[in-house]
Amino acid sequence: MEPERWLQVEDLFNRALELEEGRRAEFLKRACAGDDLLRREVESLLAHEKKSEHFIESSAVEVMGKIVAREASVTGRAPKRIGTQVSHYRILAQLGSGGMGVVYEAEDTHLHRKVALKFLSDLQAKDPQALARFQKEAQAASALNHPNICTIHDITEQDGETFIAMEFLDGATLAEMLRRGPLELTQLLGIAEQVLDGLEAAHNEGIIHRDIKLSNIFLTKSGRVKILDFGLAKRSVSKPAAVDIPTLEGRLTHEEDLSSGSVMLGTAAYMSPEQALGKPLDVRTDIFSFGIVLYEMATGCAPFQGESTGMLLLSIVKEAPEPLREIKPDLPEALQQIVDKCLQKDRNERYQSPSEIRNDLRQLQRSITSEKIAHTEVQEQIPEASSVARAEPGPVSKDSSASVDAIDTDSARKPAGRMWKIRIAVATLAIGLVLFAGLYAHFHETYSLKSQDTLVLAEFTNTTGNPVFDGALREALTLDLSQSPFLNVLSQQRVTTTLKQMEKPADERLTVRIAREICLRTNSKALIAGSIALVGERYTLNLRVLDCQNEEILTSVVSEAENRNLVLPALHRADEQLRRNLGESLGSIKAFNVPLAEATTSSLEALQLYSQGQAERQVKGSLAGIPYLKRAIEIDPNFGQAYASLGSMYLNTSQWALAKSSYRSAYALGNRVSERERFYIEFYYFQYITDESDTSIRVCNEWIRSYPNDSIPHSRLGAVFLALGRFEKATQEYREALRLGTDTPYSGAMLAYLRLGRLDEAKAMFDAARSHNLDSDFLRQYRVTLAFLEGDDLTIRQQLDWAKGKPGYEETLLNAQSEIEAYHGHVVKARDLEQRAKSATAAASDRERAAEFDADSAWREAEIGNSILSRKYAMQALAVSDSPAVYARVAMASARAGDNSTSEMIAARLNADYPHSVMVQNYVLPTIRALIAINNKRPGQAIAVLQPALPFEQGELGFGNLQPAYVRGLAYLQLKKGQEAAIEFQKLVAHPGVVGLSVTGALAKLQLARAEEMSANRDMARKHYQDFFATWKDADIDIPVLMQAKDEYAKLGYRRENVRPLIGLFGPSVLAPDIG
Amino acid sequence: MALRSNHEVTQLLKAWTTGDEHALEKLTPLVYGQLHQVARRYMAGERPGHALQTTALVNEVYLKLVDCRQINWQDRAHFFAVSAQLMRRILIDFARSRDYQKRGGGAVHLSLDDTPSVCYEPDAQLLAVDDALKALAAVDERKSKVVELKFFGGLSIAETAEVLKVSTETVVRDWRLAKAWLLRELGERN
Repeated sequence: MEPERWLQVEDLFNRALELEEGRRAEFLKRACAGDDLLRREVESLLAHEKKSEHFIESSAVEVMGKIVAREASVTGRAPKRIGTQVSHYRILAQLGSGGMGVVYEAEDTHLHRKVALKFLSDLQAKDPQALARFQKEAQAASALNHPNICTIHDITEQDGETFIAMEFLDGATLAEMLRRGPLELTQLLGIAEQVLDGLEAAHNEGIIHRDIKLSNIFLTKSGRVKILDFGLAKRSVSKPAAVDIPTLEGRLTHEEDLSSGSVMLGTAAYMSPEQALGKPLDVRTDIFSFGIVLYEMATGCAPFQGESTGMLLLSIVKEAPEPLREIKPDLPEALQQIVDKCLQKDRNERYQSPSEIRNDLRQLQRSITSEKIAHTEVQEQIPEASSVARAEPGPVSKDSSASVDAIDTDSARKPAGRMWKIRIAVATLAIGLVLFAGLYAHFHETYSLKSQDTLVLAEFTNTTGNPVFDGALREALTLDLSQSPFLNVLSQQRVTTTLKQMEKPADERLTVRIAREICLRTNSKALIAGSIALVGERYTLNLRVLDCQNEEILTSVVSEAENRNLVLPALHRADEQLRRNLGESLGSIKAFNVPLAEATTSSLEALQLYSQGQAERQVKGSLAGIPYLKRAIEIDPNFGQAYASLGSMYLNTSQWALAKSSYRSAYALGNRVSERERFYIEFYYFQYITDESDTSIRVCNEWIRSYPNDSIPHSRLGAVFLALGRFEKATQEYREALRLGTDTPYSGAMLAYLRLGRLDEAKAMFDAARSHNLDSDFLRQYRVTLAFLEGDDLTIRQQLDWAKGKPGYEETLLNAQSEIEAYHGHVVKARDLEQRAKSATAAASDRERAAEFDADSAWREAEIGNSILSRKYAMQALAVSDSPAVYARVAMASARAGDNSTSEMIAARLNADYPHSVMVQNYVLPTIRALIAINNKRPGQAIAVLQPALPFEQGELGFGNLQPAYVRGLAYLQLKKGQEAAIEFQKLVAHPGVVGLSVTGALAKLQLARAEEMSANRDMARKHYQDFFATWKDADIDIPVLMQAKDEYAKLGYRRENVRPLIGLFGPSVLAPDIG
Repeated sequence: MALRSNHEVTQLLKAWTTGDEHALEKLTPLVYGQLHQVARRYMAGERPGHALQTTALVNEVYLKLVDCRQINWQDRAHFFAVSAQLMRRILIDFARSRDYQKRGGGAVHLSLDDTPSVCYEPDAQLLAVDDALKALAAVDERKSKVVELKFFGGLSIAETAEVLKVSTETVVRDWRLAKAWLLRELGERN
């Protein structure tokens, strides 16, 4: 259309619309003056305008979201509460949802008033701690009756669900209000005063809120402030309630603190320093959080920020916030002083009660008002006087600028690592996983399946023309059959390695011919060939079990589905029949037979994506599999096994936080998976997420009881024992796993033998893995460690050359090489290699791994006395990673470098996050605390806190093994008890296999020398000094610890010129530490 | 969010407003997040237009991206324009990928039970709107922009006016005509 013409159309359209409908035709007729085309064009647009009232009025996101929701509701998820009645409440609409739960608008049918009902979210309802907190919220808040605290009407339990009925509020939270920017000063003061009133009421009852933040402060439309969410509230120890508070269930009387020693509660951004440090709290923690709220109301910005939780907390503990008036210069000085005083790190320097703040705020209010009046008067008298007088400084003391150590914010970029155990985990996982594990068919006469007979699954022949069945059906069959403790399906890992031997790509389609060849090569008994066809409008599924030797059909099952959606249930029926035909007992089938739709997923698409993800992982590694699994979960958010598999992919790629949340989701969906999947998920959850060895051992033992021929629980047990330092038990389990043969935990077994100093057996494990064509970076790393222990420099070099340019391998071996250089005091080289290892991870965008390397560096630098450099690396690591591996290293490094507060802060986090972790509680935390005690010159205390570490000190951290012994030795040195110190350092010198490549192995020799010197064993001392100097014979000369050692050696009165020649005398024989 | 220097923010805005892949990468998860939030809300039977949800997504994105202390209103308008464009791309890609999945990964053959019993195909509808909008752009660029900002970007009338530097009355009129035009175009295509 010509532009002019279009302008005409537009003009007529708009003018016509201004007229009443009846008069438009006439108007157009006249205006178009015989141009019928023009008239018809406008008329047709007008006609469509009439129908367009609702057209695209909702935004595209809204439209799309609705579609997604409609589909999801067709597949039948999400509880529907709207419109239902619980107790005497009729639920009308959902108001919102948060971390804790979902809030609905409801009508109280007895009292005919509106209420808000708060339910725990599904996830939280499964967590007894969350439930307890939820009930506490009701109890704590219902004890409070104050206009500025949201009133609790009732707490009720019905059909196993607990919910709170509370005051219905109409308005918005401060968080919502602040999205529009900071508040006006007068509004801010009004809100602040009411918050303080509410807080004061709570504090007077001895209740601390502990989670004061913008989103917990609500402003009703009438302007009333209400403090919400007493879910974390706690009775203050320092201020016991004056009166007996009536409680709903009378439980408040024995007040147990649900949070202490368990999870760190509260919102990180609003934590007080004492909260961040995990110290006991009193009412003044709320004062600090209130200060943050005040700051945000005034500026719209958060005072403390950080790229990771760790950095954020560090900022809270150490940094002074940017002064209020630097962000908004027009704010009164007095407000800045009030906020500063709230935000004092030391709670004794803060306001001690809400009423103190209120007094100052009121004074500020008065000064503003009087100034306004004065200002108005001035303006009236002398109009040209335009400079605005500042509000008087308030009554706050001036010394409120917090003095804080500056933090090296530049170095706050790099990511960090994985837990010590994960290294082992991944090692034992070798490559593939886990689902298809050993199940052995019971002996059955008809088909002569013996207990070691294995089945190979071929891909389905799909003649329906619908590709959704490709991959999905084989995956479904695999998952379904793996429930059976009697059938033994060849693992995907074995399939892949066999394909490799056949010189086929790992993603080769498993036709019956290929499957048969795999079957023969792996000595399997039979293969299952499935097919799906569309006959008329029905789907026909056929499963045939073929003997690999002669292709004789052992059994065959047919099943039909009326439509696409019934294919998976039909397959499940076929599987059940097949299991029966192959001789599984009815009892067993009954016990292990969750239908796919419940156990796994009912979505073919999700299943297909899952299967593609597994295949990608086999071929290209975990990183490639992740997107598929993510999409599978998008399609079916209840696909528990997909979360678990995604979790292990994240774990394998060191994406700690994501792994954690995936496993959490998998665990929460625990009742929707099959028995075997449940074991698998529970094991990972308890071993790697909550790190509770006792529970993970229990899970493994149950697993073994249910699936006695499965090797996977044995190799998992091996990893657990290895981590606990119980190497003998670990090798037993690994041997059992290898005997059963469905899993190949060679690298785990190899490490266990290394730790025991049984180097030949370790070498045998490496060779066995290689002969099976298995490889992993861990295997290579352990090979280098083995060569290091044997003093076999040639092999080390060969391995390094081999790894060059191989992503995943290169950085691991560069890191190992860096450690070896550091062991010999070649610190500059070590740094350079670590840097190269980091660059290699950048190529693989493995930020967590890079952070782990930084944490390693921090620890190394701290050990050799470079505390500034150590701190820099520590901050780099901390900026990126919240992983326990990085936390543990950085905490030890910081303490070793004399930075107690950083160390304490991280220790508090570890303590809160891993309350039941054997290694965190008995190894990591005692070591950190002992180091802090040593820094504080309290060696006796250090030795006492290390007591629980004794049984675990050989445990596997992936770094710094035997640290508790080393630190205990340091404490004894400080106590001037040379003999006791020598015993500790001797542990490291005598167990080079346990210490591995760690630089403490070399330094232990020096410490041993010092210990011997202290107990006047001069000959021994001299020998150990020389040992150390020999190990560091061509070390960089400017290493603090080396310079110190040389000094003291010189002072001991040995002739100084003896030093150098003696080093030469020792040479390489000392380089290979004796094998214990 | 970390404190950012002025310089960094400027760089970021520049990258964002030129619509590079980095911006797309940042926005995609946010749009998906919003999508799922909306979906959850519908699934829970929540009434639409609840107060919590009315803030435009791009507004939040903007606040997230540029530190709260450096809002420059001219940048903001430009930013909204580019965001709406990117959101359109993301949503259309999303709808297209779903459409593709439904058709069995682009296979030629569609078996009977692959055809959903619902006659209305909303994904396809969204794609059709996108197509029709391209046609509208050829006729009247500004009206297509109004639709892009309002429908895909989720902006209000006032925000749309701010971005396009026209009065709100103009936006209201443009919007009315654009809707009628698009609806007719869609009718003709079906």
